[in-house]
Amino acid sequence: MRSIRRRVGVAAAVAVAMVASACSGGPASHPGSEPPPPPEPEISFEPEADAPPTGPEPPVATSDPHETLATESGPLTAKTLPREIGAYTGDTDASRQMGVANGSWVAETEGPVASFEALPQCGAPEDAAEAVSAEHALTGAYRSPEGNLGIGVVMEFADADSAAQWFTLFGDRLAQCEGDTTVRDLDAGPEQATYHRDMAGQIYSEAGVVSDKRVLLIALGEELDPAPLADAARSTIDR
Amino acid sequence: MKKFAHALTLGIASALIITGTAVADPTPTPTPTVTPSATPTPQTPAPSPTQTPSQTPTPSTDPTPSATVPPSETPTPSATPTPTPTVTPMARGRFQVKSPILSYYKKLGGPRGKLGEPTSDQFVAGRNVTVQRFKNGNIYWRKDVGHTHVMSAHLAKYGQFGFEHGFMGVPVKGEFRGNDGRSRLNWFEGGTTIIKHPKHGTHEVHGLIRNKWHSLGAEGYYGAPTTDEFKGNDRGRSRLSWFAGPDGPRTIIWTPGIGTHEVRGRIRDTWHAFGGEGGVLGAPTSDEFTGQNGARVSRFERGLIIWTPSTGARAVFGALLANYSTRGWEGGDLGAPTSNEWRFRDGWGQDFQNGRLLFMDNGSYRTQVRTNPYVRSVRAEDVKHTYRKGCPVGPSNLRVVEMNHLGYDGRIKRGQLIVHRDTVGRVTRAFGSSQWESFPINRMSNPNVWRGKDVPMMEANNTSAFNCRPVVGNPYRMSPHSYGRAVDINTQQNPYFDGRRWYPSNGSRWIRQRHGKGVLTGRDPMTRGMQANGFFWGGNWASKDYHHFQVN
Repeated sequence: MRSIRRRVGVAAAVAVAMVASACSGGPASHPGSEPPPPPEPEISFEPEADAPPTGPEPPVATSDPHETLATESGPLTAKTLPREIGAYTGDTDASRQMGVANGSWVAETEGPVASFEALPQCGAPEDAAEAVSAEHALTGAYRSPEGNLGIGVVMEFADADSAAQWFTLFGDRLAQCEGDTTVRDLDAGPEQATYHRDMAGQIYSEAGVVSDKRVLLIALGEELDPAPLADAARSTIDR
Repeated sequence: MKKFAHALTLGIASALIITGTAVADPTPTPTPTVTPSATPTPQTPAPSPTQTPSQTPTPSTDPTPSATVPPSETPTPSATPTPTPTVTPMARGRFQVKSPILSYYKKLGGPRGKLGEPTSDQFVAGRNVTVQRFKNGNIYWRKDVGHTHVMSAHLAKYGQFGFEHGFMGVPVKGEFRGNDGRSRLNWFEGGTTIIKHPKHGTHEVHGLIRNKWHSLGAEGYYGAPTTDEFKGNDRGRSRLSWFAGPDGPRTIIWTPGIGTHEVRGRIRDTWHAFGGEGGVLGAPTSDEFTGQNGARVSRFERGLIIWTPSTGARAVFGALLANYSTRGWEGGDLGAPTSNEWRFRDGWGQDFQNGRLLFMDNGSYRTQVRTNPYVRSVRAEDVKHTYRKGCPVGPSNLRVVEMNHLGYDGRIKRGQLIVHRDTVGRVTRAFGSSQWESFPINRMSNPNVWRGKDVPMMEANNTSAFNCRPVVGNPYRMSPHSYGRAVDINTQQNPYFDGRRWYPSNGSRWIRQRHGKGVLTGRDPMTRGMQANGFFWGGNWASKDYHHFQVN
């Protein structure tokens, strides 16, 4: 009798299971449905990875990279930059160097970002992060007939002292360059600097000038006499 | 003599009746009660049932060997003293106890001993054994095995299987205490143990299952049986016994052509959920063993079950197993399974530690990747060639994000990106979504491999983020890579134009061919994931930088 009950029990269990299978396709099946949702992401952190930030915080650009760049920045316009420097001319196709093409050879750069990034990556990073910031900046792109690239940046600070202070730091950091970035032929004064810079094999001929509360920097991507660059910068910086 | 013959007839008759019941309906309810998916195995391609599921997995076939010495496999019968014919027979009531039973009866205490008064005279039963019945059991004697006695519950179980006429034959040892200190045992000449446990009842274990049980520690370590041996639900092909292990129920199963193996723990639970030996997995072809990365694994005829503490015991079989086995099983790129397989509209799927494997109804496979990011702080060696004094963001504000990605070979790889700490969330979300959508990435190695040099790194088709460097052609502007807020992806298939030429030189084919493996089109999962998390794509610039994404 006991064995009969047992047999009946087994048969019932199998029958129930078969019905369940027919209905659901089994305990883990989702016939005719979408796959299960993806598992919750599991991000694990090393304890130290949650430590608060330390060190200098560089300025962060706030502009939308999707936006077409402006062709003016405060009082700075295309006239503030030289249109031609020797064989180099303003390059309206050089949007790679500035962002979204705007049909012009100049484009606005956020002042604090421009003055921070233009400082040579030489010397203490704290000095660069804590340096006085420009209020406005405009960048111009150049190209030579041979296809060499050039760049010009004009920045306007709050006052002449700020501009002078920034330019002094600029020269100091140039003098500290070593390793992948080296500077030679440096002729730096309080209002003008000319030099050659080698950045990992890319040679730039450069000049920087100060006038009142403005600083204008020019770099052309080949070995040239930098003195005419300074002259070109002086010819437009006050416009 | 007539009385003896009558007793023998009754004994045989009752034995036959009981035996008939036992054979027709082997004791407990062996069939697992949970029924699995009705047809969980995709039709094609059918994996070979004889595949070896692990590259180096069979280290320990007996992970939990007994510390206790099991009883001897072949019980040695005691030397049989020849009965002394001169002993005076002991008359008790209607029955007489005489040689060769008498000496053993006296040794057990006679009528005041555990067997009590005789209830029959001695008689010669089957297999030429001399038997005498007593109130609490029987004494057996045969010249080659000597004296033994079988009592109460053991005797009833012995009777279920036909006494000396059944496969057990004549008792050869007992009754004695088991090496668990709680059980009482009898051994029989046919290689059978009858064991009575105060909690688990009285059951028999015999043959190859008994041998296996002994090799695993028998009642002292492996556990006492909770069933007699019974037919498997694979139409009776296999034979099984269940045991009460210290960590739960265990099964020892013998299958013709396969052998005898044991299944235990969570793996056993899952095996039962899939129908046991009669289900989709079939009978075990291995004991549980330690697989790769410490996983516990049991192989079955048509699949395997893998257990880890974090994933539980999951079965892999069918077409999914066929692919899984080519990828190194639990030690391969998918890791251990975290789910059993499931059916969905277009095929079958299963989740693993590092991703999801899909077998589509059209016969193709697809891998969806779980990136499982690990975020750690940056050490000096991480940025040995990509950071120098003067860079705008120092190591303390950078993080290494180690995460999985789908490689060009369809396998899951582990790579890394170094990003600004405030960009970790965006990057992990963007890569998480794109990898779940199976967007392939060739490699994600530290730029130190190329000493931080961008051109050779682009030629190597590397995906990377932080690298302190100026924008090409512009010493007054730092690349957003210098801040750890830009990512270059699959540089070869997504070249960029610097105003003069395209980089890398080996990527020129993809200047116009904007489709194919790893190509960013603007509609692909990678671009969508990055843009959804605030990144700007350089493919939108007039001068294309197809591999470049940046965020403020």
